[in-house]
Amino acid sequence: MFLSFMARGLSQDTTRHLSAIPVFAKGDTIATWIQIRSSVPHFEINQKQVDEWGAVDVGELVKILPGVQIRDYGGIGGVKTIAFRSLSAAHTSVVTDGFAMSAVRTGAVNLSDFELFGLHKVALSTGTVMDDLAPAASFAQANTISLQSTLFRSPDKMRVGMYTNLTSINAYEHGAYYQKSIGKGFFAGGQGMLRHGNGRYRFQHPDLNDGPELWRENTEMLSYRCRFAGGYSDKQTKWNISANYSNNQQELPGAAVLYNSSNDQTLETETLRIQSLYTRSFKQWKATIHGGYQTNYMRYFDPQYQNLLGYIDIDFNQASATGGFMMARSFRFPEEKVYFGSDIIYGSLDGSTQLIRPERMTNISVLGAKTVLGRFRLEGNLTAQLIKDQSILNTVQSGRKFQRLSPFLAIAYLPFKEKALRIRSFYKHSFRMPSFNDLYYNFIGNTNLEPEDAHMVNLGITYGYQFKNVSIELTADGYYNHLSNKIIAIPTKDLFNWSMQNIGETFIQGFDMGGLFTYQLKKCRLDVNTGHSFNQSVDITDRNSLTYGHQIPYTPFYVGQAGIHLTRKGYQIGATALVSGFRYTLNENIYANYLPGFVDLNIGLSKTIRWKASNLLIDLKVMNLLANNYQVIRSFPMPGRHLQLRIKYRLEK
Amino acid sequence: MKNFFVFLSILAIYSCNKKPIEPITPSQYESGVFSLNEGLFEQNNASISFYDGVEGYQQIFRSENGRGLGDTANDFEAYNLNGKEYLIVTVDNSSQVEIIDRETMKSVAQIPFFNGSEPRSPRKVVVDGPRAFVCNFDGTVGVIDLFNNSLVEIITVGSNPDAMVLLDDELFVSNSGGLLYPIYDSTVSVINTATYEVVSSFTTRMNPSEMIADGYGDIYLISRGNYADIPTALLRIDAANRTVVSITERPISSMTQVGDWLYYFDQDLQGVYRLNMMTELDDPTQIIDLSEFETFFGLHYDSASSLFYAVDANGYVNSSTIHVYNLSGEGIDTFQGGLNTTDLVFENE
Repeated sequence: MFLSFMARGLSQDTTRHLSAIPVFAKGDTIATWIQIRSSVPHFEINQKQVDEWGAVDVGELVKILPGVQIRDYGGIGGVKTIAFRSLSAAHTSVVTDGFAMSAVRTGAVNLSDFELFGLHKVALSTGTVMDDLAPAASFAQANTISLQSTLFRSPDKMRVGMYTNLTSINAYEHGAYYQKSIGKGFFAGGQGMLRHGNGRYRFQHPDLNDGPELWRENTEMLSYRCRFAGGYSDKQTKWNISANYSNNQQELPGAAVLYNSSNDQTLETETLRIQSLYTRSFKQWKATIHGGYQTNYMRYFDPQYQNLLGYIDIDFNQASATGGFMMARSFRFPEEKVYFGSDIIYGSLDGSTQLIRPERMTNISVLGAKTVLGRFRLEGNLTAQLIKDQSILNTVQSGRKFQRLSPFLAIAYLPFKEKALRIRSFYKHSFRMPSFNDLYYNFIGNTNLEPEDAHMVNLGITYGYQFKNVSIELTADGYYNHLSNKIIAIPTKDLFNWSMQNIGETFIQGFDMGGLFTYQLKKCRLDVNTGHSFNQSVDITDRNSLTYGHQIPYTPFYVGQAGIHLTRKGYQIGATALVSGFRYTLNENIYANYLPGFVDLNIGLSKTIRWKASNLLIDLKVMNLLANNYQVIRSFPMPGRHLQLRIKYRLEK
Repeated sequence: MKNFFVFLSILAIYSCNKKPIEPITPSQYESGVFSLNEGLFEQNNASISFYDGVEGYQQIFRSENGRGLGDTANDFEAYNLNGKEYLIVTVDNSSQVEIIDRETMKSVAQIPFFNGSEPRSPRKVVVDGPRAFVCNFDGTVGVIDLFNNSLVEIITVGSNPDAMVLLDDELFVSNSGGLLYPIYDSTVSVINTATYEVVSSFTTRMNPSEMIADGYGDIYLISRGNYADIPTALLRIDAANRTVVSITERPISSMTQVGDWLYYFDQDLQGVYRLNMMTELDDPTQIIDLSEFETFFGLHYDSASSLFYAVDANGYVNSSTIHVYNLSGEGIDTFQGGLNTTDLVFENE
């Protein structure tokens, strides 16, 4: 994959000496190895890729990875959720600086909540987490997105970052951070972010042939976030503590309903999170303990609703607390180790329209080991999940317990001596716990639900070749996933009575591949990367149903991405493209549910200026150059051609 | 490496799965059944299908007009004006009423239903000579002059009216209060069709919806209750005295009139039963067995051919299947509608 590419860029980004780095510096080669040696598909994205793709939030960024499908509702601050290899967002955990984000209400984390400025690493892995000291909770799920903040890393002396992003669709983002070493290994810093704009853009409604251009309305947003982080770092010990606050007020553009542009809904969210992480190494041991607390308030308001009040005003309060530890011991060499850990997570939900106030206590423990035996590399772990739900309805308390064991096993094999080609494989059986909405949502919820089951099998090859100033890397993975006990809403008696049931079954098979080519000639460098995903995900729930054997909704048979960038003397010119095949919006594979494919092509020109410890990037991009009028989700049109200007300044010394 | 790319290209071909076939239009619209498909909320996929007895045609409005019908179409009626045949469609979430030339399926007029910028959400339509009454979920009834296709009157009724029935010069409107959860409305408003005034409003039972007027001065009304502890019931109303004469708790979800008989679908017994509206007597024998249906979504009767049409909405997320039965309950035909077929217009209507 272009894993090593990312890893390389990453190390470039984190290297404090910003002199030009040869394509394959020694350290980079090691990084390359680690990535390619990974026995599960694992991707790391660095600042360079972020800049090249012009991504603003994590949702926009991870869509460039093979196998990822982002459900993007468009507009600024629009919801973005992930499906990786047809496993829904509820199968993906999001971990920020060791804190597993809670999503007890819907099960899905909105990836547009995480801006990229101030993150120094974004990683996605499937099967297992690559970082041994990741919280135990992240080992349970099928896929993990992990985010690492710049402010969690100790600076030499100080770090300053400033950032602004202006677009011609009236969406703006500004940010700044400052971090300072305060002596004796201690450091402290803060970051502020502002996202605002009316976000209006023109679109062509796909259900009106040759219709007039319409405006995407009710899209205004004002969001600000701040974060304070401090810590201590020496050779053996790392300690971090941080507080995060975000406040988000936005209009909800809703669906672009034909002939009816009225839209007045608004959404308000407020999140507060405090977290701490402590790591200590002693001899062959490494230990981490972590803890955190988060509250989340959400208010939805629709001023035009045809009920007695004439409006809808609902709010939800979620709280979660987590704590846990992770220990690892290495043996003959660093890659031979045993690790174990355990997390306790508490989550609660309280809603103004909810009759029930549910609480969930989760305990996730993991025990794993890995080693290298001759040409084989083995890794396995076992995750135990114990979940206890409690809910109170009209003073009647009821409870529910779930217990699940998730095994994971991976084997990688080097068939040749020169180690250029590697074969990797893994198996994992994971579970998706029913969310509070699935279990308790008024009328629809079903308290008898069981967790959703996912079996995942992956078989792939990775290949790396380096010669003087050329490097080529390829990865190809075939996979098979089987989803059963899938939680879906089905009508019971009539249109007014729906119920969540464990009846869905999906068969998923696919193929993801990635390629990277880098060529360096004197001061000129050419980077080409590409990814291709083929996915067949069919509904096998009921042999007698109309949709048996049909491709599941919003799952293209093909998605591809490519980027080409030429760099010389700090100037970079490049193009990136995302190509998506057609999809169906509902289960039935008929024309009425057909959503055409699209190409999203961006071109950009940037200049990086470096002096002393400073680094300034000025980057202008034309987004959606072909002015393709497309939708990722039916009735949610995406912006047409627009400009993006970003300026980033960084000082590290 | 070479083999690998061969494998890749095979996979690419296999994976670039065929695009679904675009719908085609029939050569005529005179002989056949129209189905109106509600679609799903906020998906802009309301549509009209046509079945000529042999072949089913989907999305005919879109094919003939180059634009979608809109979002959530609830009801349609056929009418004749000056010797020309038309269809009138209420498109709820798009807040439009569409008038269509029935012979060509081309739109004749698209009438926006807004109160300022606020959508009125037209739900049901009843045609009375050269005018149409449209009940709107914002608590009003609009009157359309069908000569010039314009909205001429707005009459305020109760909350979320969901059905209408004409009885001489009075229009009965059931105010469901469907959006007032948990306390639904329970009133029926009566409009004088000459003066457009609400002459009466009386209480029936929680969540009143579908109505049928028998030939004997009574109106049969389904009260849907609260979908929880207050069950569905069939009410008989003395229209002249505005009083509820009888309440029978019965899980009725759809009903249709066949002469003096009222045929209905019993949710618990999963079949069609009937009662006589003249004698008020129940017939305990099952007329049509619909227990094989996945999602029953409406019972319709074509008086010209004496056939019943029952809709299976297949879980509300797939195309509906329409099953045709004769008066003795024998299945004689099946055809496909669009997503959530909510109403049918027959050849001689």
